[in-house]
Amino acid sequence: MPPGTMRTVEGTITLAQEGRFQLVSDEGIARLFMLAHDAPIEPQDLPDLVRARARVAVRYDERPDLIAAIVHDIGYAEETRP
Amino acid sequence: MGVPARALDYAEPILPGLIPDEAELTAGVRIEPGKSYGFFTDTTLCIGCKACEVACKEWNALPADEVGLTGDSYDNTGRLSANTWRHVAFVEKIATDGKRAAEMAPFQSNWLMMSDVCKHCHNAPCLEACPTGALFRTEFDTVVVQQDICNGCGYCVPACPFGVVDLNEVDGKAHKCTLCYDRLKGGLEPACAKSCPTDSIQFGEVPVLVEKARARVEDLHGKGATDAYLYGAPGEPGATGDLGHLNAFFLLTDRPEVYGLPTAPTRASNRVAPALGAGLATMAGLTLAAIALFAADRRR
Repeated sequence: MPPGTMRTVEGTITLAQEGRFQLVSDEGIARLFMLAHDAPIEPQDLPDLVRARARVAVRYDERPDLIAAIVHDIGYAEETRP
Repeated sequence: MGVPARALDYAEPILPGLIPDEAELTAGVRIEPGKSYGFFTDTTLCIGCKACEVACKEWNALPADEVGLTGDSYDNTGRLSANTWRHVAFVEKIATDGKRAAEMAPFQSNWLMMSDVCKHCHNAPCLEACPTGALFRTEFDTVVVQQDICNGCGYCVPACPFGVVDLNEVDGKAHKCTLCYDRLKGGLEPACAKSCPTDSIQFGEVPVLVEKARARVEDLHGKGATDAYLYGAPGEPGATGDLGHLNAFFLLTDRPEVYGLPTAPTRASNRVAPALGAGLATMAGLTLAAIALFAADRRR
């Protein structure tokens, strides 16, 4: 994926540490994400999302020198799961 | 897509719950608020396996960064950073007195390995420099950055004499080792120390660790390794410049700078008064010079 290209994924946050979290997508793939400075939520909001097992939609991009996706937008996902 | 069959092999947890005070089993210490905890890293036992680096990244959900080969021996981590809170330094002593080492003592190597980490200083310069109170001292006498309070000013970065604290470009906040604050609160030994296969990293109460470390130095001296010494323990090299002592201290066998540690680390706040005085003196001098010039000009 070229740097700066935005993608979206939906899933459940399974663990959070500071501004970093692991999201398991609906396909069962776990991935590490980091909140960017322009993300609409703060690190202290993540533990509540973990406890609630809420489904979230994440808009992210990637950097070539980092094995984590960078979150620019995050919100509750619409319940369209089959 | 359904749940993979492999995931159902162990659908129920093996243990009924968390083991209470697990650190008593793994490190021989009960973790209680109000006591001082830290690391004693015996570099003579480090085999460079990097299990501590991996355990730290796993527990703290830290991503790999600067992916690639550094070209610096087996050390592809490079340095401590916002995403790397443990760094195993590989120092190859390939030359002595300008000559390449051609002989090796039995059962020894020409490698020095050291797992570097935040020192959780007794008088922490990063904590003193923080204007928001994001850096604070915990009930376990460790130093932690509160991410919800950090405003990313970066004052803590140059204040740290060890180059530990780093700003993350992604979120703009300061990050460093928390000495697994969340694990300590749950009675668990920090991940790096628990994963160390040779016990090079030992976790425990600082006074107990200092006693152990001093006994280890004596033991090594008795075995002929007279170059072993402590760095950062009370009254030892590294515990200089009003830092008090380092809660994460080391046993070294070469000069500190060989491992990338400062010979005599100092507290940044000690330089504030002299720097302010020098600034005021300069301003006073320039003012007097300007007055003298204007007075001379007026007399002409």
